[in-house]
Amino acid sequence: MMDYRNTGDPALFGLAAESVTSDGPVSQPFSEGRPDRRASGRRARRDRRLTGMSRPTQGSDTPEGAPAPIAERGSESEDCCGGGFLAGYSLAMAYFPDQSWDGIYEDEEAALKQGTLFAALDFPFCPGCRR
Amino acid sequence: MNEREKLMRRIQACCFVLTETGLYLDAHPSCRKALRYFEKYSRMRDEALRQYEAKYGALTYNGIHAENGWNWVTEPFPWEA
Repeated sequence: MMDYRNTGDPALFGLAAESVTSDGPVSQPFSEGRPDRRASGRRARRDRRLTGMSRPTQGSDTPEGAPAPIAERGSESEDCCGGGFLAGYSLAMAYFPDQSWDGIYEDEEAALKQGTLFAALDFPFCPGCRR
Repeated sequence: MNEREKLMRRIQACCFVLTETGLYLDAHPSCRKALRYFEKYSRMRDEALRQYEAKYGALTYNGIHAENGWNWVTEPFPWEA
């Protein structure tokens, strides 16, 4: 039985603290008694629907319908071209803004010293510092 | 910094600006401002290079005038200056 209280994830904690009825979600305190496998399965399916992704879980007794541990899901895709360590997670979309010709260091000596002609790309390496 | 070092530094800075501007132009080949900037620094680089090689010898094979003999190996290399 997976206990969402042990995941350390506040979002899952909040979701796990609810159950769904025909009237909608109703907040309930955690039961300290025998766990309801059907309820935990419903919670897991709803978690995936709400978050759009599967979350890795701790422990070996994964409830019915809950996401499988990462190691198991990764091994399923070892002999194909996708997945790997993060198999099962939603894909992300990467983007970067188009660079514009402004903020140019007019002093070429300064540009050489800074290692870039563009002020927008000037991020001096400074371990332990915050800009 | 002596005159030779100043000229070398100027050449290096101009070449750096040309590389940076060229990389920008790779992604924005029709940017007029960047094109003008590249032209400006190309001329500055050429002028600094001409001054340097006239006084201190060729920096690369391109600056060698073979009619005067092959002085690339008879004079100090640029990195030995």
